[in-house]
Amino acid sequence: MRPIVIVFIIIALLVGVGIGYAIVPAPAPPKTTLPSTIPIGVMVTLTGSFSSYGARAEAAAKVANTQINDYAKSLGIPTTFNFLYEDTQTSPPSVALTELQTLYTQGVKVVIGGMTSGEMAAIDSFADTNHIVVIDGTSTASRGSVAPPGDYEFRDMPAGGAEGAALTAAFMSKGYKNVAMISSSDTYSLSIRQAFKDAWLAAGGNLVSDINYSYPATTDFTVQLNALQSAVAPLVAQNKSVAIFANMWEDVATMLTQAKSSNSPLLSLTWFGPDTYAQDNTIISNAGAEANQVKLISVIFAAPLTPSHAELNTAVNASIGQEPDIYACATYDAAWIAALSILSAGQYNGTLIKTAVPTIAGQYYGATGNTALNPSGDRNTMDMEFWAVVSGTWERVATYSSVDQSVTWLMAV
Amino acid sequence: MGCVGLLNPVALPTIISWLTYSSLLSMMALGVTLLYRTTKVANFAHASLVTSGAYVAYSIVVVLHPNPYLGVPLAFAVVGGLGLLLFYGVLEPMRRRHSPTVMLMVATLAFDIVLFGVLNILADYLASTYFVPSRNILLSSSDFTFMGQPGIFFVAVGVLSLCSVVLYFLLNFTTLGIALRASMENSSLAQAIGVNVTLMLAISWFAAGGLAGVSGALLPMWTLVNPNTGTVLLASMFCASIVGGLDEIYGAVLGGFLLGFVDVVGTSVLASSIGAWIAFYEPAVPLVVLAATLILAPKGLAGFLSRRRK
Repeated sequence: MRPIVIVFIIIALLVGVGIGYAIVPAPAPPKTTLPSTIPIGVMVTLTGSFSSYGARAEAAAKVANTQINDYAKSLGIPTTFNFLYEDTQTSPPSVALTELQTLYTQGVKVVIGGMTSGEMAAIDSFADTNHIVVIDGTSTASRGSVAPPGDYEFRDMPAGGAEGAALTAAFMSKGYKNVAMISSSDTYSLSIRQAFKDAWLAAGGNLVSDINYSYPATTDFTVQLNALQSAVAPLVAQNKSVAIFANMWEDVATMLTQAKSSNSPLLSLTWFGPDTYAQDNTIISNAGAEANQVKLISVIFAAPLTPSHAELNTAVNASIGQEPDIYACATYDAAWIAALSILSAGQYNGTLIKTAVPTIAGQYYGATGNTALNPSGDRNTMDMEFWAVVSGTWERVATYSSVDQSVTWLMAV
Repeated sequence: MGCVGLLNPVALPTIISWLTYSSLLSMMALGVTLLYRTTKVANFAHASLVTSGAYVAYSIVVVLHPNPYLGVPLAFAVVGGLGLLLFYGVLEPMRRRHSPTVMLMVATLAFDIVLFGVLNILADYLASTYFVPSRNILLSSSDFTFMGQPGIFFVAVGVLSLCSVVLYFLLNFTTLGIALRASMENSSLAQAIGVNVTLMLAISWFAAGGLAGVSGALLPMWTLVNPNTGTVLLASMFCASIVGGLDEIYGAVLGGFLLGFVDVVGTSVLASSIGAWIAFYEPAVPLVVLAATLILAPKGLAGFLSRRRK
């Protein structure tokens, strides 16, 4: 064969390889059975008494929605998560059921929220029957120790019973043996009331008063203030230490200002509170001077300042001018757990997603730290901390260890 | 003995609370009764009209930072305007078509739902634009103190007195008032003698809306307000109006003060004598008073008193 022919053949082969490489098809995208758009329901209280909490939770969920879609895009997953918001209106809980049914008709298999314990109870049966996974970041009323079979509800907040022990430890460590309690009549507050009562009485404390009031129908607290004053007056006259446990919501501001208007001696006592208004700047806006006077030492689950928590603070502040409370942070984490569980399951199927949630939650570390769940599908207990109104602002004043049930005071209040 | 009791430092705050709460409730009920007297319509939108007054006043505070009381006249005008909108936009067209009263009541309920939605939009706008809490608002920290008592006490009682006096003079000593009363008594006859009944109705709706706006504007000085507050107070407004007697406009004032007395003073006395557990049932008090009054005086307090006068 002539040398020129051999050279021509070699050049042709090289050109052929080059052309072949250039036209080889791109690798096929990973096979997925996820739909191109995944609807996720978000049920928050945008109107009604709990609407301020709902507004913060909604803002946090929107931040999560954006971040989740960016994450899916970065992985090349051809799926968009679309959050559908429904307002559960705080009360009655039956509205939550109607909203869940509406979401179900839109193809929703995963829901974040149901902000109150009453709402969670109302949607439980429908969710279980229709295999809708519900991940809630706010309800904390106590449930059974083990989730029943076929239960599709998860909560990334611990049951509120632990607050009773924390408050008891706080009162005792401060030397209080007498407590006058006033409680709102909603499901959550009543569960906190019972948890505190059980722990306080078991520890040998004296409950001088246990007043319930109708929420949110009560707008004038004269009756309640008079009743509390009557209960504590004999103890104050005998120089015995007594404190107030205001197991209320943001209406504690109304009670404080009305106490001030009536020059109530209750303002000379120290008030303690539950997690419903700890760190709530609405209290500072509405009754800052009075809250400062009574300290309003309030317990709340301790959320470590993780990188995602700090990022969420910035984003929500930019959106609505308020920082997210623990419930908003938990809603944010619930959204991420939901999305990661869906991606892990590989199908938008409630039963498969339900199986994935405990594993994902156990490994997830978000705005509220690690979200491992216990056998009842609730968050393992979290440590707690106490915040008080000091110099007109909320300050962290104590920590509570759920391991040894002790309180460590960080500053004198 | 009664005077000494009133000046008792323990009882005085309760009396102040009673008078403040009753004054606000009476202003709300006054609007309900005025509308029922003129149009025979129970206005369910009164709930949101009251809340609108609160949010008008709060919006002024948020945007311009004046004293909250300065928002009251604007609340009167704006919510009065809403009352006119309800009348001319919804009720008058239905009235011309001879819609039954029940349908008009349902229409007010529909307007209430729409207004509730608008209030929530406003609340969202305030929160996202001015970064202020827009639900569960309380302005009492801006209140003044006089003689050791909160300013809202003096303002609420004063404004109610002013409204009552103005209404009295308007209805009894002005041509407009006489025409208004004629429309209330017999609208057909009034029309026959040349009274513009539609205009009289419009004025009633404006006045009722204005009264709702004023009471709503003062509400955040006393208690927490959110878009739902009017709905929470609606039962009490209607109770005060009915207990006072729907045949007399001033019955609303009587009803408001009786209701407030039983609610605040009565429940306090009961709580101290039979136990604090009774406090939980405080919201049921207006309904109990309503039932008892209607059994003893079916035409309400005002009807009972005018019968006694005869």
